[in-house]
Amino acid sequence: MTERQPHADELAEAGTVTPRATVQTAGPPALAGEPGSDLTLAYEAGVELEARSQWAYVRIRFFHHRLAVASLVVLMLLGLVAVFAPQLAPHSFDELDLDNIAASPTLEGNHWFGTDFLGRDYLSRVIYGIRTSLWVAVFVALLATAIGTAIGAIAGYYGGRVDNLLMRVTDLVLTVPTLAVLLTAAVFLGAGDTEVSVGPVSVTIPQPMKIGLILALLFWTSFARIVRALFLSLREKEFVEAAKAAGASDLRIIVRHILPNCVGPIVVTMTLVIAVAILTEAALSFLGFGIQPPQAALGKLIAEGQTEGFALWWLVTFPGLAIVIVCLAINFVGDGLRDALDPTQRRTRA
Amino acid sequence: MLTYVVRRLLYSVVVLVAASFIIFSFVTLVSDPLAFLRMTPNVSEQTIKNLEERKHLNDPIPKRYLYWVQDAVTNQFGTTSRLDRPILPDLWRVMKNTIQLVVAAELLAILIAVGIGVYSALRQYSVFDYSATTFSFLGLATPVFWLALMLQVLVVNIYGWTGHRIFPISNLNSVDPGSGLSFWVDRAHHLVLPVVVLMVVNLASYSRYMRASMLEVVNADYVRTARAKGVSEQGVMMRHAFRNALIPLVTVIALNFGALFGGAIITETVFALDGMGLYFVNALGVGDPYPIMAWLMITSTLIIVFNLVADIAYGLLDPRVRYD
Repeated sequence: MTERQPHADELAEAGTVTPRATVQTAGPPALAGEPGSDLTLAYEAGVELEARSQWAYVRIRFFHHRLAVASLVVLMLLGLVAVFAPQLAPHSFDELDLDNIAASPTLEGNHWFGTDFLGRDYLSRVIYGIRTSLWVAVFVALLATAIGTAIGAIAGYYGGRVDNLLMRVTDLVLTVPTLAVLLTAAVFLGAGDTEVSVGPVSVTIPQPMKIGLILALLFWTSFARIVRALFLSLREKEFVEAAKAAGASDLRIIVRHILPNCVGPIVVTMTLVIAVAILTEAALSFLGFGIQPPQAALGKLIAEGQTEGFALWWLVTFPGLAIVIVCLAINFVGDGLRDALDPTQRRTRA
Repeated sequence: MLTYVVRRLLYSVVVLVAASFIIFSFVTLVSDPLAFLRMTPNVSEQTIKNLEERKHLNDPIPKRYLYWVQDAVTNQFGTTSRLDRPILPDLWRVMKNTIQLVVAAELLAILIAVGIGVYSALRQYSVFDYSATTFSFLGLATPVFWLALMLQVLVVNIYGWTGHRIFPISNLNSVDPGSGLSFWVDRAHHLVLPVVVLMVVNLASYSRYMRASMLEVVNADYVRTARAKGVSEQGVMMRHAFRNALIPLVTVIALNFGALFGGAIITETVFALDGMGLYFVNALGVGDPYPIMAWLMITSTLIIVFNLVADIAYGLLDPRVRYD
């Protein structure tokens, strides 16, 4: 993204083949006239000018936020662990090691997080649990972003009656007690995979995706509100007027001209929603209305630890710590992004 | 002001009706309140037919919704479909218990959060400020139920090591709590862990808000003016800064009301408290739409009322706000 001036060596080489003046017809006017003058050489060889884009500044500011960078590394590692869970986990998530039942955390047999009463390895189950949780959270974030951004953009851009109607729908979602409605939806949509057939096409919706769908149907409101507010102010800006004068369609103005200016707040909200989605999914699974066994979900693992007695403290502790670490990392990354994406913060030294 | 309140109330009624219809159609579409009876072998076909007739289970959904509204208004939300228990008396009982839990947790959270927030703002970037920030980040990343369970694990293991049971880990009272003062002492003893759990979650976000709003106020022009005209530092902070910094917190607290019920659902389930949350989870477990509907209606109404109260309070506290 950084636009670097061609280096002196490259130009010198090119200069031996063709006179500079003919190559750089559209080049800097002062330099084009006199090929090989002192001024040109000093400019090219000495000071290297960098035209930094807005994103370059964002990147620089983000990488100065050490906690956020560290959190990003942690998250990426956990993401890799989640993706490659079948290869990385020492055991399968439902494998029974009957020689080591209810073992406290030990290096023996690779049971670092201990085992439960069935001899299932909790390190492996936590790894698979992170896989499920992250999967659900990312799905929720993407879907909620899509729904919320679309609704917020339409409401903010068109205003008036459309805006009023859409915002009343948003209010309606905000007035219901969220967790209770989520629980109700999860219970009445039933456990297990659901087969949806529309005409000849029949699609199986796996259970984690179903939970994700339910969460997304309540979480889009935060996006809608933020995007709407941004659109309300941006649609009055000169560049939108210019685009209109040039004959751009509404869709083009929304997608190409206004939306790119909303990316920052949307990304920050996404990180918040991912963290909340992980916590909520864990709560649903913990209460027994979320992801069902034998699939490992972090909340469910904690619930199993509870039923199997508090003496096996590791069954409750480790899945919970995994949730805390993931959510903490996401929140820090979000914090770093918020600072980095704020253009008023220009205190970069790089 | 009055027209504003009336309009908001009317609008709230519309929202409630719309929400109740959506939830009702959704819940009744996918659930069968008589599923339990159908599986019981010694209930005859005829009995089930009669029940279907009496509960209008074979009518189209809009009609069933109207029957439900009638039942809710004239018959106090009716009875549960499994044991034919009246719903409202049970709801009042559990609500009283939940209110004790929620009010205690909320008051403590507000008091402590205001303290932490103000001190953090006045000593910005101090060790205290950094610790408070770390704590609130941790609080926002910790699942409520996990915190509750960890406290239980701790208490149980302390019992294992020392033989002392510092706090009860479940129920609202002992088997024989006595009466009068000893009853309430027993109740308070049982509520310590649940209150702490419910409090910590809100404490994290409230203290962040309080810190931010105090920081904003401290740098405001009128605070500088107050200093310039010679008000003592304590007077500036208490009379001018602090009171204005509290205003945004009112909105945050009121909007958090719905989340509080969510917290109560989890806390009461983990600690087996006979409150609204546990009532709701049990109703969900049975899959009975009627108590679920009653519960959702009552909590939604409370949330709407609280939001309205917050808006009015905001206007009373901040004279710049105008209703139109």
